Amino acid sequence: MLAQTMTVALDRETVIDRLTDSMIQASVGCDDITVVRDIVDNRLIEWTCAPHPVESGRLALIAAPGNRGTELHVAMHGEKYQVKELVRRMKMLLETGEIATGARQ
Amino acid sequence: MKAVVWHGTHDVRVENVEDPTIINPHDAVVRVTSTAICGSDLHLYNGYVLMMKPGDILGHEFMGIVEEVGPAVRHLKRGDRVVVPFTISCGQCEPCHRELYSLCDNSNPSAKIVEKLYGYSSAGLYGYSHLFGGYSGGQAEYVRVPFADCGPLKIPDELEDEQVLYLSDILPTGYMAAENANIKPGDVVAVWGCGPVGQFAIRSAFLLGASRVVAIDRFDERLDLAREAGAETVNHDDTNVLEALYQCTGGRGPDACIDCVGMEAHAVTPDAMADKMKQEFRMELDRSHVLREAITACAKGGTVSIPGVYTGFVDMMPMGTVFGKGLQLRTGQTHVQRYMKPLLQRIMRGEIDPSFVITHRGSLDDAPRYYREMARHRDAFVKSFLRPDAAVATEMEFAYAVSI
Repeated sequence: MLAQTMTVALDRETVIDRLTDSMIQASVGCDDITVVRDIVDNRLIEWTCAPHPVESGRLALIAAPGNRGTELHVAMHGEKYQVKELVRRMKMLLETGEIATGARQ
Repeated sequence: MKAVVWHGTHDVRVENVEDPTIINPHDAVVRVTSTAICGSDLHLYNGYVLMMKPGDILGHEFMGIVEEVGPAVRHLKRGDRVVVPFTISCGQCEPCHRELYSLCDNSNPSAKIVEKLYGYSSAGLYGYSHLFGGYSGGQAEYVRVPFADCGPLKIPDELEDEQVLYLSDILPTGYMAAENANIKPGDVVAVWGCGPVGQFAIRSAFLLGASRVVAIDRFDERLDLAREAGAETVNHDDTNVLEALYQCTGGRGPDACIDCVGMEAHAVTPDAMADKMKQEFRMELDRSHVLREAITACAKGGTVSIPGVYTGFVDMMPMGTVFGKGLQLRTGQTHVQRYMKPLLQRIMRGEIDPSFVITHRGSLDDAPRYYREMARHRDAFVKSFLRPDAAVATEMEFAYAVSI
């Protein structure tokens, strides 16, 4: 599995509240997803993507030092850039609720 | 709508393009009332910035009236008159919380490409290539403004566009450059490049306590403006800059040096000519003669502040001098949102009137000609001020004149 990490400026409880199944679905880009929560005191979330098992993965939530928020540690199969982009989309959605785009229309 | 569109190196046209729309919940659409061409737009015009595409709309200095807001926008409403910062920032990530808005984690959709080049991505920018998000720029009649709650500053009706437009970039950039220079009362500050950012850096240096400012350029009209602000001037075409700076500081060198030139430095020294050749063959991205000179000139323990734009790799950097003299280098894209409100207050108190830099007023249709003139340093060009409705107004005045 490949691992990628980013930090969001939110505490762990807020991340858990905001990280809905649909947000994970939008981040992964898989329509048919099953999410398992409540693993290890809610700090680990796993998902399986039925049509593309290679896109199944897990997310660990770790408090960042110095009250900087929460580190998202994602591990999944697939290509490195794909995992990084998944974590980036998840961070954007958690912090801003949208995916930035330069499109005009 | 009408917009200024990039088609290639030295090829900028005014064209009709489709109007922007709300895409994301935090978007707004702004009807542009005033815009300008920035010196850094010339890096695009001259073909030195990667990932421009034909059809890209230029411009990152603009203000106007909010026409429409997305459902998640809380602080703006239709009809608000705003200046829009050139850096696009989400306001929610850690850099934004630390007021490092130009380092926003979330606003650049091209982050993965920038990360490959620089290690980390910075914020998206309006009209500044697909490296910075491919956002359409403000040299247009309308602009889509993402993350509209973080940045656009409401402007009181009593202020004219000419007084506040430059809060979008060059005034905060010049001010941050002076702030980064660690100026203490009595310091001598040298400023390379007396274009608009240099002019504001000069005035900001005095505001922050500099006893003397030495301004360096080669164009008389720019040096004249610097003298009007109280600066001493050096024309680098006919004067050895280093000797002049040592001479006027009793051999110490300036306490702070500000490089407002960046990647397209002009000089006839051997290093500058080597830079020019290497840049032409893409063996080096930036011509850094000014930065070398600033590092060499700076006093022991001094600060070199770099608001000038650099995009990549530079050769022959005198790092031994930086180390040997214990210099601090401070730089970065401007955190515009941090400075807009305090600088607006300075404008309202009459401490700064940014409109003094304007030398050319026109409409969007004048933009291609202005780009040419700016690039060739013709017609004593310092700063443009463009009104998208200016041509319309002229036509209306004509119609009125005919009717009577």
